[in-house]
Amino acid sequence: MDGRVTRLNLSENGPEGAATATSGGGAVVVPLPSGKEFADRQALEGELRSTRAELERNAAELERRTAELECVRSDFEQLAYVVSHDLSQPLTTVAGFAEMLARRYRGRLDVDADEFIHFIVNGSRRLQRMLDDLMTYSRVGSQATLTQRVDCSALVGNVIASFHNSIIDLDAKVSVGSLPTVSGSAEQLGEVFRHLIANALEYTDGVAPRVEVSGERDHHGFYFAVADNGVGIKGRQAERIFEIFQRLHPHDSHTGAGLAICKRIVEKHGGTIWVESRPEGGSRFAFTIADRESGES
Amino acid sequence: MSVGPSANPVTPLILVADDDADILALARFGLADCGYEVVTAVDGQDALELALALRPDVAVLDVNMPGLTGPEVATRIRQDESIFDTPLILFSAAALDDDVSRYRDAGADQFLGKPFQLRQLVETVEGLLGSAPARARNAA
Repeated sequence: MDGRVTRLNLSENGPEGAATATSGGGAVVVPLPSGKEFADRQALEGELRSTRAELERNAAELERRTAELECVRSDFEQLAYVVSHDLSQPLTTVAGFAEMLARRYRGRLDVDADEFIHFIVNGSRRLQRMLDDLMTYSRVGSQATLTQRVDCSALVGNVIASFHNSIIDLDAKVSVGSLPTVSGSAEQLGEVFRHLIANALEYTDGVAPRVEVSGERDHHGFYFAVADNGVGIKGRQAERIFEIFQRLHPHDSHTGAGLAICKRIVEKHGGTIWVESRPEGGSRFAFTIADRESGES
Repeated sequence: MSVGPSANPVTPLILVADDDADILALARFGLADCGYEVVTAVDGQDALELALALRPDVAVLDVNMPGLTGPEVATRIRQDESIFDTPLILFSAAALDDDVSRYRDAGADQFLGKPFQLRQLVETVEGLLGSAPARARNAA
């Protein structure tokens, strides 16, 4: 037998169904699947083909939706930038003249007029801060280099140093555990820590603030937390506070954009941010950062 | 062109040029409020002529103006031996780092991004004036 097949007979009529391959040296009989097995296999193959086609359709759809989403996001960033920038221009004029009115004419008109001017000045200052924050929010996506090696211990050390005076004035204690080095934007991550620590120092209900900053690396990436003994965040507030311009304390001077900016920064770093109430009182803001170096998130 | 309230020859004279009437008014009143004499121009050619005629102590020029642009006016001022040392501020919306370095090459001492707060303009002007005495110049 030289291995060359000279004739191939297929038969499904016999009890066993077989193929006979005939070559120069003799015939080899290979069993064929029964009719039912053959049909089952064909059905399976058909199913496989249709599943594969469906998967391919889904992948294409996902790709299309991702592109669409990216487009919407980029349109949004562009719109937010243009709105914040172009609205600032006339506002600068309004604010500038209102401040001149206040400076030149305070006490020379009647009491109502002084109060009206005060509202115009405050309102325009507040609007200016909101537009500035909207600009910052819109630029989170486009401005940062996310590949710097960021030593979070050093970063948080600098942030805390910048709060030196407040910490002394408030008799606050801020403790920092050993924090990992991550890959990301030092400026943006500094902004997240700065904001979370500022909140922890500010919303305290009169008690001396106790703030703990911790962080660790696990198999998912990096986890950080800023815990405080402050007023805490209740129920549905926990979801709302990460939306832009949502304020839990409407009478303070903040615009309510800080946590929305933090959320956007964290998401740009492949992570998520959330807040939980601590059983002992106060709250813990936690966020994750993707481990870009090992390719995990 | 319009001139601020003070005509005292020792009061520093600030030239402000912009084709946006609101910004021009804000700068004019705001700087006058701080005790400066202010002269304004609505385009680059007007700004250059006023700079040559009045020798201002500081010139504040918008980058995008009809006729001559702010950087072009800056370059001409730097090339004229009677006013080459005028402290210059250029201001513009949405400038990138490259633009700012181009403005500096054109002769700007300071750059202000638009929109700017009145306070920023006043501080930048004050910074450039330093303690230098106002220039002797012919009355406008």
